[in-house]
Amino acid sequence: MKNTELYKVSKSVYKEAILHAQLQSAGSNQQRFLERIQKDRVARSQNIIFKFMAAVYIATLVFIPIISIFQIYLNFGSNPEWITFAGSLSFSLFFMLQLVILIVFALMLSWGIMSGGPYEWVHTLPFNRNHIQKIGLFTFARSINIQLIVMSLVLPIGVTTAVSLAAGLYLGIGKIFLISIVSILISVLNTIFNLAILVILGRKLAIVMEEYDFNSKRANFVRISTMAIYLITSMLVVMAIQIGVEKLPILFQISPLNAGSTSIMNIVLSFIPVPFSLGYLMTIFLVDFSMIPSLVIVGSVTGFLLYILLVYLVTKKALKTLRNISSPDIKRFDPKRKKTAIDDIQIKSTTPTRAYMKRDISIITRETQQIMMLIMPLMLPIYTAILGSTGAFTEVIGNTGLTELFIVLMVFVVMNSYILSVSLTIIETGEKQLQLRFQLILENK
Amino acid sequence: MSHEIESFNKCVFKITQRELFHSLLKLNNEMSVKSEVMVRVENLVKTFGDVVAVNGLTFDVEPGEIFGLLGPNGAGKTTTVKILLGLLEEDSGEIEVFGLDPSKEEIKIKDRIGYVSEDPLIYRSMTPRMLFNFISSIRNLDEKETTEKLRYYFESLEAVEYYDKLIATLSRGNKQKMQVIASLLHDPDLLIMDEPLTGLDAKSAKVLKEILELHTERGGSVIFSTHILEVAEEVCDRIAIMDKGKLVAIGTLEELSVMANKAGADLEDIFLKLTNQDESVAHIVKNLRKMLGNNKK
Repeated sequence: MKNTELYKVSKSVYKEAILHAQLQSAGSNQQRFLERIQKDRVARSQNIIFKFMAAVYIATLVFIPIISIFQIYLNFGSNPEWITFAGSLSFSLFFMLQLVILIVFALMLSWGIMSGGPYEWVHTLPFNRNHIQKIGLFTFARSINIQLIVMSLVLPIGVTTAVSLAAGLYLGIGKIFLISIVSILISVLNTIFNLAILVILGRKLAIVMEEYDFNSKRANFVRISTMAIYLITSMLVVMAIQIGVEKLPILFQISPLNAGSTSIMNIVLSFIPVPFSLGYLMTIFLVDFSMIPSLVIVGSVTGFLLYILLVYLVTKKALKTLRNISSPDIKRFDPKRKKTAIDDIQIKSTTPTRAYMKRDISIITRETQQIMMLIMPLMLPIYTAILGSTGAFTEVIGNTGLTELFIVLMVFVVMNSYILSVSLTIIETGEKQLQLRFQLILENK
Repeated sequence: MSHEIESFNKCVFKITQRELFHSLLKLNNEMSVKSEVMVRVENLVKTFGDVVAVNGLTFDVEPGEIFGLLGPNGAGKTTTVKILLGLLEEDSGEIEVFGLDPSKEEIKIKDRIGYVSEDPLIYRSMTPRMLFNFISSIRNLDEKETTEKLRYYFESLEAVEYYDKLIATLSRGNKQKMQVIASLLHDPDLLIMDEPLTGLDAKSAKVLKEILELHTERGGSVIFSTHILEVAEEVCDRIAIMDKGKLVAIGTLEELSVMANKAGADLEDIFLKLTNQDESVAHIVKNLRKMLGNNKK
């Protein structure tokens, strides 16, 4: 069978994987979700919206290297050591944020593919193992196709444009061409690395979300922690972009460390493959080689070679994961279970309210939507505190401390009560169940 | 959508079930005479870690027979079925399906097999319309002939109204119907059915049994895995009783009753006797009576 035909088949597998992930996320609201997607086209296209949002975010990130390039050429003469450090740091921030955004937007859908479930039926159709492995690769490619294109192209385009505008006359076509080639090479490697990490993490999340014991305390803890880390990261990314773009020019203009310390830091960091080596390599190509200490150049090249090795290793692991998930012999994650003995079978009664709550926790921890609802009230104060520390409130409402505090408190009170009430009532869909629950709570009181 | 269903309905002939199956017979009047052994399994072993799921299983399936794999939950029936399909790889033993090695001739074998799994594997993200178009494309089926068959199956299993509904929204039984139709559409030589009657209503179950009978009359074979004794007794020509991965006995109902020294007994008694569970059941019943018998309502 031709690859083009297998690619067409992967469309159906991809759609099934998306539905699989969405149903898992919907948890006990699956029926409601199914009714919605029957009627609502937008709900069905949620994955496409996610893809475009990720692509827009990734594209927006290009402002970080663009600003950095302008700042490098504007300030390089003043303090080469510090500018090399600041430039490399900015590029490293760009690469890290690219990875995090890809994960934040693609992970929730990619674990549907990583669970292996959507390939089971394909195995009963007239395909051989080789075909099915290819379908697996194509399905994954479909899930990140737009992000993949944007991620590969955005850096070379951004760098070439910025360099031409900032120092085109000074550098000449030959140097600009060389910088473009380097940026393409770095971008391709970085994209491969990011995708490999996505595959590995996607599989891990699939294991957490699907294959742990439904009710164990450990499983609930792992699921809540995973989702919390995921949500905190997604919020921090948005803040990092805001702060990064806003404060980047300042980074290039200050020099808090003396030249000696900066030099040592440059040498040390340039050896570290992730996330610094790519940033250093890009920066040393942007500026005059003669102005960079030879140890930093050696460090960047060594760091880059280590990065290539790392890309090779994670890609190998990711390909193995992709092959495994589309294999009929997929090894399901098997938690170490204690064999239940007859003495382990016993009833522990509690109050009806507690019984309801206990059951709800095990349901909630499997539902993305509800975990978000529960974590949001905790996240809001953190988010507001960080925003407050950056001076965002002062800029908007001035320096009146009391007003500031009042607004923050109101945000907590209104938002938290809304979010908590929605999250608690969403668990039960039946009116009678809800009535019974409140009745039980009142009786307990 | 309702317009499409209406037009679909108009195209479907209102006929009785008997006529329906005879028409199906006519559709495939050039019956291939299959003299080869459909399936041959010898000393099959499959382990999962420390658990021996299948332990030295040996059987064969002749053309034109419904072969039952019978056993309690965890007996190794589903594992056996998955190995036959190439979904799992055996640890040791020999398997031939249509005289071919499943690990080497996957496509040729899958082309001639129809599979119904215990839990429907068909894509929930599709409507039946999309599903059967997909299957037809993958299996290179003749459009006209397949459409005609599809209409017969939909009519006979009373599933026309679900043709444009998302499979995810269908009930367990209706999903099962779609799975059954999907397994029959390419007119396979061998049907492998793992608990196919699960979720089906009485009428659809009867229709499916008729379909299986017609399939064997035409020279096809069926491997019918079930834990429901009454179904096995009614449907299967020969039965292999499995327990804890091992083959306990194999034969027709009469042969099994001779083996169990229970002439004229039903399959339940034979099964319990052959799996050495008859005494254990008697013991459990005695204890239950002791525990519940004194608590009058």
